Amino acid sequence: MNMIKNILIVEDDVVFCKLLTRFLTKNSYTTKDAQSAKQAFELLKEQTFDLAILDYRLPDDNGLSILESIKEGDKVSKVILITRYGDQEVANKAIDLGADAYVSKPINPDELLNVIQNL
Amino acid sequence: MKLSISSNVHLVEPGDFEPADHWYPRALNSQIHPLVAAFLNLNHEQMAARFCRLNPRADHETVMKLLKYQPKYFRWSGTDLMHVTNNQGLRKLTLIETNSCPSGQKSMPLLDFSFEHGGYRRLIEKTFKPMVEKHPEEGALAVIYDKNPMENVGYAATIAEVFGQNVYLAQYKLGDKDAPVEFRDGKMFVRGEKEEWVEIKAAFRYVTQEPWTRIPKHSKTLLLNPIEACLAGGRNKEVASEAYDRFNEEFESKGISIFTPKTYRNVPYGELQSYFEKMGGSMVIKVPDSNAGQGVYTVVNQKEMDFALAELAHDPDEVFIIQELIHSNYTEGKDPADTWYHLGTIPDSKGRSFAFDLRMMMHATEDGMRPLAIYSRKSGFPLNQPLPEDMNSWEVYGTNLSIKGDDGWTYADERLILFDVRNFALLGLGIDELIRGFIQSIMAVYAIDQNAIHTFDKEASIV
Repeated sequence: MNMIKNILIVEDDVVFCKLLTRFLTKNSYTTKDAQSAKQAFELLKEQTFDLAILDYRLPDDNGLSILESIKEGDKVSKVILITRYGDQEVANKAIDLGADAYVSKPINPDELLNVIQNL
Repeated sequence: MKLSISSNVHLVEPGDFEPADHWYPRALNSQIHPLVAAFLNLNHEQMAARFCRLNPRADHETVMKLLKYQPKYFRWSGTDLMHVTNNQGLRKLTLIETNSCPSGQKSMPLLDFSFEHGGYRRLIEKTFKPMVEKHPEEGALAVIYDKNPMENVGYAATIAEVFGQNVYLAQYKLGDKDAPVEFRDGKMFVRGEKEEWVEIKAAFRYVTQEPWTRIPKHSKTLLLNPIEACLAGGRNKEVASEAYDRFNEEFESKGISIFTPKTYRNVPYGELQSYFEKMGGSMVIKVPDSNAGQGVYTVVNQKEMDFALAELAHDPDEVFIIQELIHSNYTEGKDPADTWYHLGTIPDSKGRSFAFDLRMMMHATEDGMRPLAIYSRKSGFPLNQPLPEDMNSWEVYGTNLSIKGDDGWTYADERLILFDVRNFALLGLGIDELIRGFIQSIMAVYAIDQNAIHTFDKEASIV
């Protein structure tokens, strides 16, 4: 079992955030969510996270550039990037930039949990 | 559940319903007030008999016909009512508006603790399912929405449960250039897992922001509610007001009527100031297709009038609805005989009484119209204290909980009053008011549905 406890979810779809938050909370994680890169950076000023789950597509930026910023600092230990279905190019870039894993949409919460537990 | 099968689309599966996701925590842990439970369990005959006892001129047969009415377009609805009185102490519920995508499930205590899905299931089983079973088109089931994810995920999960199949949950926002919902030749499609477009047989619709800009009339996909319900008055206050007037003319001889604040329609921008003066320096201005409290201005002085005029100046060709303000107390009325005042909440320990409204959600079942969810919302500032100079009168008269922020909608749920054992007594309402409110709400639904039939059935036959 790894030491991941608190997770930052960055995804502009409010329903996605709510549903994933509910699922992760039931599995004993604490979460914060941000619907934009701006909100994510504001949260990162305030606290550290064991894991960030970043959507690639955001209204004001993309997940890869947040990943780059995260890797330059020490606020987040691990990163999972969410890519569109079949978007292998973005997935490869994410790994090159230091992401610990990527998952493709659609997200099955149980499969995501498995990825988190194996980081 | 599969999250994000495509952008802003989730696939909800049977077994995904989680009560904690679809009720406010305090509603989930509340117990319904016995009076409210008694009201919800009354049969139509009991309601009609009591209503006629309270309104001796009302014709019993007509009231029963309304209770048994089968709307063609407007099968799920919500009204906002206010509890008012006049200088004779005559208490009434006045109809403020009728809504074709009403919220309310998340605020409603369970009627029966063994019925886990509560009102969500009653609406889907008793209204949506019978409609879908009679609808001949092929395709999947969907929920499309632009607000209120808490209730809409609940509806999707309930549909999945009741039909035993997966349901597409798609966000369909105004101005989304890459929307996951499309209509082609009147048939609805939702973007699926591999970016393919999935044909939809029937959808539960909670699209509130100018829905007519993206949902067509005469949809081949069954919609609860179809757009016709919005266009005929479910989302346009001007059209609704005309429909209520027609209802009142038609049913005058039957001793029933829809009671609204005195209303003036089609008021041009240039005449707003003269109406303000004519109405004695107070009124409510409404943008006809506004909702969730946006585009509604309570005006009690020239400063507020100037503010409203400045806000509304962007479209000088728009016409507005003007309504008489329901006053905060007896002494403010200009003509006591023809002026209505908020009853307000029972004074609290600090002596404060607040304006409140009553949201009555109802649905059409095969047995007729039934109440489904009820809650109240109170204003932010009491009726019986002087308004501070820097405060807007909306704080005294406005009860809507929706707040539009830069990043979407939030709710001032601290002003929500549940109909539970702890809070219902604060309102000073009894079963009689609930019966009156419900039957008046059905009159509004009937008026709007008939308006839709007269307007769109003729159009459909021409098409």
